[in-house]
Amino acid sequence: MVQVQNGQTDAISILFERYKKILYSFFAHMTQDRFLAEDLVQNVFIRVMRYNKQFKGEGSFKAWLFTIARNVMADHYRRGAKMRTEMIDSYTHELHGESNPYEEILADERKNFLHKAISRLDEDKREVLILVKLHEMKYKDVAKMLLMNESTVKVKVFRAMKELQKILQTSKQSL
Amino acid sequence: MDQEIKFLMEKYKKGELTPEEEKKLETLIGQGKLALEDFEDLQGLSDRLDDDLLLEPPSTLDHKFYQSIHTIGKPKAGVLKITRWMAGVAASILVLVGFGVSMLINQSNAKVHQLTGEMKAMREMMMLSMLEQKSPSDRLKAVSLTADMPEVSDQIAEALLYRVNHDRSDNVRIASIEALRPYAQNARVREGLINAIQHQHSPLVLMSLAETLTSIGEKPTLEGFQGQMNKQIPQEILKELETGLKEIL
Repeated sequence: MVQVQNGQTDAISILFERYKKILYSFFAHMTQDRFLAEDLVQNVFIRVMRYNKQFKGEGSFKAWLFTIARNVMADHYRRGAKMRTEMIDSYTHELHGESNPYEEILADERKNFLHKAISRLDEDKREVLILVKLHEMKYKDVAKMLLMNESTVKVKVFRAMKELQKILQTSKQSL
Repeated sequence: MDQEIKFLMEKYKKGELTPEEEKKLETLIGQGKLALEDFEDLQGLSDRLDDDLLLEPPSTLDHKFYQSIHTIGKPKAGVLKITRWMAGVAASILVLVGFGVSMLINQSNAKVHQLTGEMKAMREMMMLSMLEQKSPSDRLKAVSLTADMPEVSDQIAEALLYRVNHDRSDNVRIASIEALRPYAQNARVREGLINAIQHQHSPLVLMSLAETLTSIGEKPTLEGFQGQMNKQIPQEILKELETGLKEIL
């Protein structure tokens, strides 16, 4: 029985290693809270273990995983937690060690600047942009997940990109 | 239409689009006639997003995860106590001993059976997810996972047949054919392998299909393969392929 259990945990560990980074990034950008992001990633994999039989192999696994991720996040906020409107904690220190050379520090600042700009997008725009750009998900899969048609997703991504561009250009000083 | 797109794009670049024209531009994007890549001003941002969106999770994430799956994996102490208590009662009442013991065995077997099923489903899910990876070596790894599976589900068989017919890598196609060979008693697999002939262009894949079909007792005709030997195959290879197929078939 122990072997059987080990077999199951091996499989989930491989999936965890493969998808933890993109799930963590998704939650961190969506919630603006990196501690919460950690907990939510964990909850996703607990659900994957519990409901793995529901994955029928129809459509992409990534799309199924992110459907669970969205449900986990929705459940969290349904329980009364409030979503942060702007990033509070900087991600900078997580990206590299403390003894960064000058160029790395600049790169970190650039990333941090971009992340803060993303956090200023509306939740809808932020989500669609992250799903498409971060996870390289196909428009078709994102549309299915968000219950929209493909053309709406394409237009939303375009609008989000334009708005993000505008935020980056106009808020350079204030960010 | 091209002229209209050109006109709209020019105005977009100058920032002179009217609200109606902006709507028209979005309609074209929605219809797929314009893509993000067509907007030069967004290219820099798009590349930046590709590079900078991904965040490195802290090491505490791994720690929390592995701790939680081990907790889930452990049997609950309460259940164990009840089982022992039940066994004690069963032992003290001789009439019920046999009945009690058989109950425990069944319970234990059911638990093992359930966990085996869950493990199988998890492995299958992992394999299906790996088959979607961009890297051919990842897809090859996924295909090789079937070697440890005593039987493949219809879902896995379909996924492998899909790889045989549509994968960009010939190596993945060949590995999928090999992986399906042990399951040739499944009618869907046999039929899928026979139908796969028409989707192949590579002589190596065709040879592998011919070998597999022959080994499972399905002897397709040489003509069936000849139809697939299109003009793109160089003459020398074509001759070798014909000779090889004649030997096999």
